[in-house]
Amino acid sequence: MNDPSKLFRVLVMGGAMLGTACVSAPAEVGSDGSTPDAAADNGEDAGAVEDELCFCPGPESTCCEAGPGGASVPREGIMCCWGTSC
Amino acid sequence: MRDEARAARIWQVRERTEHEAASLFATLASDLAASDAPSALTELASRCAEDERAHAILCRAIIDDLYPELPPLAPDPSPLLGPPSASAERRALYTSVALGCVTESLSTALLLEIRKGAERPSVRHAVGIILEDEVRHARLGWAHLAYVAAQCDVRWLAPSIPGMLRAALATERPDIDGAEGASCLAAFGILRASDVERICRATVDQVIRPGLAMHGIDVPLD
Repeated sequence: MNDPSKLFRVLVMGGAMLGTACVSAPAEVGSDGSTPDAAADNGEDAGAVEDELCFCPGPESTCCEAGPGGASVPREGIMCCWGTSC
Repeated sequence: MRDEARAARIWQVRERTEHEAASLFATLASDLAASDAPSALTELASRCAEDERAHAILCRAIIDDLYPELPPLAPDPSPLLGPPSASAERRALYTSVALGCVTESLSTALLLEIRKGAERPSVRHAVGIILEDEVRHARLGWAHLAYVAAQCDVRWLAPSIPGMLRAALATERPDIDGAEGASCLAAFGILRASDVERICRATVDQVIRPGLAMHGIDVPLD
């Protein structure tokens, strides 16, 4: 079975970032799934959600940046989900 | 009954479910628009409705491949989630949580497992597309919940969560019934009953429950 903690990060935290604007660094998630309330931390930026979605559509996305060696990698706090990559 | 026919009957139910989900997402898009939610969420809900219609077509292609005689099942003509008397804002959030946070999160987890064993080309093709979309659909639910929770108390949802979970798990019941006593149908995108139960339990316990708890919605343990 796939790792549920990855599902938690991709679905729950990924969705929370979308809902409260694109947060550059999501809160650490404990093994029990507990986490500081990212929504409360970033509620004032909710309007920005209209301008920036946190899905990684591809290499041209703002979710990606140049990593070591020049390769395109996800920005800190961004996770690619299935079917997407930088 | 041949394995192909057995599997086709389950995809027939999935086809109907996709049509119903399309209606629910379309209603959600309308409710989001009526409640002045960010346009990104409204547009995303509309896109989800389109995705679900496309999924129904993919399910039909599988049925045609496995057992073409099977006609479509009639979907619920006007599915509606949430208390009928609720405001558009509350009905929208209820729908987002039931459909996105609960149902689509479970679907994503199950499809990840289904994809591993799906060998039939028509099934493998459909599962790959549907899985990518289900991630987006689940995220819509979590996004909407986070957006509302940043502004007001959403704990009123807590008493409804057990019912949402029961309804979502019942949606997977065709897999359980259809595969009962049958040979392994993994190649056709059908999981064993024991796998469905194990994956759903892990997803509820490690994804859905902690995700809701982030926003103060505590779900009692079974």
